[in-house]
Amino acid sequence: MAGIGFELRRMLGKDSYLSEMSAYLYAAMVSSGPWLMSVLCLSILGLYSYSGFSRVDQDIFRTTIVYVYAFTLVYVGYIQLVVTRYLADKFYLGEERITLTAFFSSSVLVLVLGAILGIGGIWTFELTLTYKIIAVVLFLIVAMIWLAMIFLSAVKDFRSIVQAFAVGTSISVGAAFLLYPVMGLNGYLLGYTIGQAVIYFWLLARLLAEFPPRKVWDWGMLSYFIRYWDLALIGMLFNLAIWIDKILFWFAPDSRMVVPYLRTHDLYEGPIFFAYLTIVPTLAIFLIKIETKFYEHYHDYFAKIISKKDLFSILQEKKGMTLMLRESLREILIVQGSLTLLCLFMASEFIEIVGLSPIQKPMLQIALIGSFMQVLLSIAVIILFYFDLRKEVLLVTLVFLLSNTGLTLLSMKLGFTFYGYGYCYSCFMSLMCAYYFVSKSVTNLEYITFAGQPIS
Amino acid sequence: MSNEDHESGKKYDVCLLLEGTYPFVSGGVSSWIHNLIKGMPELTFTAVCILATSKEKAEYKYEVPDNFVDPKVIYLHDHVDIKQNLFNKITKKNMQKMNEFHKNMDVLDVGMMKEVVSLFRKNKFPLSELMHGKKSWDLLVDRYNIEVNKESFIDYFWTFRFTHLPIFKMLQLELPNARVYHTISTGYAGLLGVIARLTTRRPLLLTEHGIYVKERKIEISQAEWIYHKQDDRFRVDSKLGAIQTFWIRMFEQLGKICYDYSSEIYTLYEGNKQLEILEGADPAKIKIIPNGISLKNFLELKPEDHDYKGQNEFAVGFVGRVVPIKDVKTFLRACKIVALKIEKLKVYIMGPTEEDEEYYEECLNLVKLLHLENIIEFTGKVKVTDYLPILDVIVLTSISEAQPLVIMEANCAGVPAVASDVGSCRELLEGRTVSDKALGPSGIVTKVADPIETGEAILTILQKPVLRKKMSQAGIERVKTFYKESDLNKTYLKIYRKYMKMENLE
Repeated sequence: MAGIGFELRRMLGKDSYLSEMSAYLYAAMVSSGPWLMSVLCLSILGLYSYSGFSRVDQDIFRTTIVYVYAFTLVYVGYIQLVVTRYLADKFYLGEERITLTAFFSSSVLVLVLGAILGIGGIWTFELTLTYKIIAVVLFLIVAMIWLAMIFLSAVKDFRSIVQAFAVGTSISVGAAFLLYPVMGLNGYLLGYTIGQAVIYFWLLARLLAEFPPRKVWDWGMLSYFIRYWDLALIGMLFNLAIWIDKILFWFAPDSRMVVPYLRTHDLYEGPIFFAYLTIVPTLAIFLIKIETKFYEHYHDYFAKIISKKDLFSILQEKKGMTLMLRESLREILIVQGSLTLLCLFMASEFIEIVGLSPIQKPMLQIALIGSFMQVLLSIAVIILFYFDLRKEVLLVTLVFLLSNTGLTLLSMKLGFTFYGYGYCYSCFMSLMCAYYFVSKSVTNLEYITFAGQPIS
Repeated sequence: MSNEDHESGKKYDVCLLLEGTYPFVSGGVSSWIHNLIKGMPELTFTAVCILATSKEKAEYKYEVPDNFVDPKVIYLHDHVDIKQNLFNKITKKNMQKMNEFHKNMDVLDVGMMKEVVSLFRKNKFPLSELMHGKKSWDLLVDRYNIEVNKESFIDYFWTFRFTHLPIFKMLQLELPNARVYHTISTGYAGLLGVIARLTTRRPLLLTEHGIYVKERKIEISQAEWIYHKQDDRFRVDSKLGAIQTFWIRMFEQLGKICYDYSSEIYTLYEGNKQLEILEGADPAKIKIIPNGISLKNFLELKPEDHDYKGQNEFAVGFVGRVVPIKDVKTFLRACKIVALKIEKLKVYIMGPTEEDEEYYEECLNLVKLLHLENIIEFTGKVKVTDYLPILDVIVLTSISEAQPLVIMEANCAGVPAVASDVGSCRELLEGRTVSDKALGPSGIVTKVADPIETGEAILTILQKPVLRKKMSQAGIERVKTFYKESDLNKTYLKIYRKYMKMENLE
């Protein structure tokens, strides 16, 4: 996570409007990360519902894509943070050469486990065998994309990520469009999968070009799963927490079964997905501010300690860091706050544009507020990660997961008018919890830095 | 460490508190302890032996006597596995006491010390909280601001931990049940003694051979690994860094506590006594008990009818390792002066040469330079008793000594000595008490690193047969009267008996 700062500052250093914009774009791409892409793709393809495709096919396809993204994200979650940590440590030690080996090892892990999970998961669904096979392949490809992105962002190659996604997504849309008339639904999914495969192989090519291949198996990385079991757990549970309300809604009484057992909840999903789009700017700002300036302070703080400075200078540096954090937070609140407010007021117009039903307006509004808090939650979690407070993050994650589960079930029970409130309040509770930890750890930063040190 | 001894009620006469010595490390102090225990078979001794780490093999270097039983070993710097205890936090009140205690370290209030020790032993200060807790962190920051302030914080932090952890460990240790506790140094062993004194209410005795605080001071000021600010190194007065001062202060305080809680303090000679007073010991408590030697190996080495007057061939001896601290070079230069006046001269340098090869090499070069090749012989490590009969004078040019055995042995064998004015050399050669002084000198004391004075002293002894004979007799008498090992054991036995019988202290 920390490494990205340098590249961003370098880009910002060019001091031109264009380069700054591109930095923001990259930042948005990388930070909003995986699930933003899924929302974007679906939005584009969502517009097809008026392009003459069969309604059922359209539903099957859309639900498949949502399932693939949701479950790959949760699935890859367990590997994401552990690998990020492993790479950061290796880079810190100057062992960049290890990268490809680690990539191969984790690929094997993701593919083998993913194939079992993918096949097992889709087996009972009433779909054609060809469709199932393509769907499993898509599942694996998307999972591999997330994995490749971890490695590429670790080596700070954001340009490749953006290029790959731009090209790949276009191909996905185009190929799906071209193959549907020929092969029907299978062709539609195949076309989409081809585009995603292009993304993956593009990223893979970049990785291969960057690093010479080495041995396939990396025991060092695997040992990290034992050492940082909490990271694996956090990665998986946090993604699950983000998705759990949607998953639960698929099983709500008023959800719809597209084909056994592909379920969807038309009312709930749309507003939630669209609300997510509003947090892109905040994530971009956050990445620029935190990953550049905050990282600088963070770095200087530890540099002061290591270079044997007195406590006063260390606390002075901490004060700068705190101040910077507070300022960034204010900025984020202003930007995201006004954007969210704007969207709240213009919810009716927005709903019309994207083709949602007017009865979904309150849901969109509550989802907007929820997203707003979720983005703040993500920021708090990243700050906690900076201080390596894994125990605290795990706690926040559990709060998020459990409250989102509990409150979503409750909102489902309470009825239609309460939809979205579960998610929103869950985000609020987890945010408060995370904020408490951030504030406590910033106050006691020097204590946490030192006293936690193991003896000898 | 278990407390089964307490439960079984097993009681020992004397519990020795030993730091880095007997029976695991051989050396002067260890031999002293060994002889002490062996000399009192009627008493049972136990010991708590403090060693640095369990990484070094702890094996007995002595065949321990039967009355030395159940020694416990504690490792000062071993890794401690700290279990986090969610519920055992340090209360605010207790932490305040800890704070007060740190603040008033120098005052050494008995009540406060007692209270803190008893809190430790009631497990009111769990190690995990002391090492990782927020309250003790605040204490550390407090102390930092008071003590060092502008110095490297990270170094202060680790120094604080390194110095406190062993102390915390000792404060929680279960001690053997004994009638008298006897520590052979201040420092960590001294602290154990203080804890024993406070918890068992039995008397604590202290015997210091070398002055622990002084030795640590030298060590610390030479230690490269203790950080101190760059600019300090360039100062002319070589002021110590604040972190080094912190270490020294800690040892000073440990020393002071030990002095204060000891019923009596014993040391080898007057110079040590002065140093102890300087470090805060009560002069009234200090008694000088010199070391003794076993006479039987050295008496009558020199034939009774030795002809001092008719002698024209002479032999000079130097006993000691060939290392800088023994200042062999001054001795060599002195020999040149002697060789210019005396034709038939033989010089033996008796001691291992391999400890500092470079220095030995320099000495050999100096021998060549002074044209003393035919006179000086490096014998390597030998049995001194083989050479003592043929020697006419023994020379010691050391820069630092405590109570050198070499001089005592020379006295005992009737060989006069020339020694630099270090440690107890003057006492050994000129007498300590009035009756001792009345015996007359058994040698000549010279200034440190003064080859001319040393050379002249040697010449005086060699060229004055009457004086030489007198010195020889005075030396034998002195050792017989004041430095008998059996007397030493008798003295300590008397002390032990007295304190063993004593009522419990408050």
